[in-house]
Amino acid sequence: MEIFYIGDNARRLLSIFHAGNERKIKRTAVIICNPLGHEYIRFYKAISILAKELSMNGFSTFRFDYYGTGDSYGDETEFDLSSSREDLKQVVKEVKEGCDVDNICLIGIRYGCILSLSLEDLNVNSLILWNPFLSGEDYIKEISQNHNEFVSGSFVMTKKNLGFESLGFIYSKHLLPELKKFHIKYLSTKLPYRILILADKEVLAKGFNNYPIFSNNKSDIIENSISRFWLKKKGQQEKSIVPLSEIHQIINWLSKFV
Amino acid sequence: MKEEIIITDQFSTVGILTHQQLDIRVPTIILLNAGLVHRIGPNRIYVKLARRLSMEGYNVFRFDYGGQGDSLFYSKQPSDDILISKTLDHLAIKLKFEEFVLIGLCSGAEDAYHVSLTDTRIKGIVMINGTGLDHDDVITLYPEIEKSIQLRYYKKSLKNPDRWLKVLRGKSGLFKVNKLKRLVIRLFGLESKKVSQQNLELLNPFRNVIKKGVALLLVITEGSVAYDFLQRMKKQEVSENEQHEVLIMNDIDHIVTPVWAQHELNTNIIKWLNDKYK
Repeated sequence: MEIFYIGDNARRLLSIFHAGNERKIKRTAVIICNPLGHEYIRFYKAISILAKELSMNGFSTFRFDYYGTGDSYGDETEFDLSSSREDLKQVVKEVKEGCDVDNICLIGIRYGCILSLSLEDLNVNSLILWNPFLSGEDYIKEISQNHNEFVSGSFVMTKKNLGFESLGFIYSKHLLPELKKFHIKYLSTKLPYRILILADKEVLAKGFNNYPIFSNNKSDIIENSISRFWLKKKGQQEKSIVPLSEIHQIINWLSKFV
Repeated sequence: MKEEIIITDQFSTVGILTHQQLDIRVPTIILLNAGLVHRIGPNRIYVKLARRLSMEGYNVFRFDYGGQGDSLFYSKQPSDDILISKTLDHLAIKLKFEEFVLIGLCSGAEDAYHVSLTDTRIKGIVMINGTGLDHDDVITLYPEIEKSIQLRYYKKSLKNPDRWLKVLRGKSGLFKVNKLKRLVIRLFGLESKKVSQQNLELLNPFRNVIKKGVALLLVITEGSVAYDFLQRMKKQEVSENEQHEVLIMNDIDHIVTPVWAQHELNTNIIKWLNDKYK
């Protein structure tokens, strides 16, 4: 594992590279696109273990914090879809230049699904969408509900002059309109690569793979064994769940495919 | 502001040092893991605090204990207390300065407390929602403390017009029979008395820190059980003095979720540090 910054001095992104196990080395590198806010914190251990397991199975894996999130420079008010697109482009370039690989697989988690679907010119070969949503509106509604439920059962007093806030994080004024524009039905291009979708039962019930973007018959679907483990709930005991079953499903799918 | 990744002993600790310039003569601030949350802290509070503190001229280090975040776990790993002291050794050499202030939230506050009793390089601690109590005491008292915090929550809700509006709109779960029954019992009846009967006074653990000459800022948020533990400590021993300040912050949950509260918390910590060390 190597930890370093990429980018110029004003816009440094914390990056973690897990080199692929040489005895099982694969010609595909994996880039993980993180969730946001509170979900990022709850997913952190799972992402870290996913990256380690992928590298042990021969996949060089790159994870990074978007500008304005995690350990990267900037704050949340500077984060939006456009800025994270630039970050991802930069990371793809780094991986292509730095790794001796033929293919790239993006793993998008929650917000990372929107990001990885929003870049068609990246020339990646496969895509894994872990807990995606159909539209940005759905996502905003969900994180807003989660926040309100948490606040209504707590000692917290809200103050309304800080913009859109969910579970400890501000979502910038640029990000919200960008998210609202996103809906899978608008992505009409048939994606040229293989896709794996891992989602909860109720999300899959919405008929994810009926949308044009997935109609090339190259998508596989797996139902999560643990539902919505990233949510902050009052009295919740299991704060450290790592969904190992899903992690292994991802590795199996990738190994079969490459 | 500059941030530097620091890795010690083959990834047994991974952390970020935030600074303006390294050769300064004020204590280095160490931010300790809060529960299972990695080095950015709950709600990324540690990142925001580290950057604001660096603008004030402090060096700030936030890192992951072994097995947490990106630090690796080794089978012969030392305890967290020893790991913290080893991390201080590393920073003392790098920064050529041997004075530290530990800041922690929840379990991080408890770690700050325990390490300050043994490591003389620690000049101050900021405990956010910490108790300084032994683990066994916390476990024994917890059922009683839980009732106490629930009672406080219901009392607070009664004074909140928004909550009443919810009740009137039928959006509150208050009308569920069992919940309502429990509420009435808690507010007016037996369990409330039971809590007060068991109102045993704990020996104040903070005097141990003060005896060592370590400055202490104790920050307690209204929504934390630390508030209820504090209520049970002998009042005369918890009173403030030059070395010991208690700050109660209302309308805030245990991990400081509202963004306004994060800002306020960080402002209070910075003010305390500047008063003490500048």
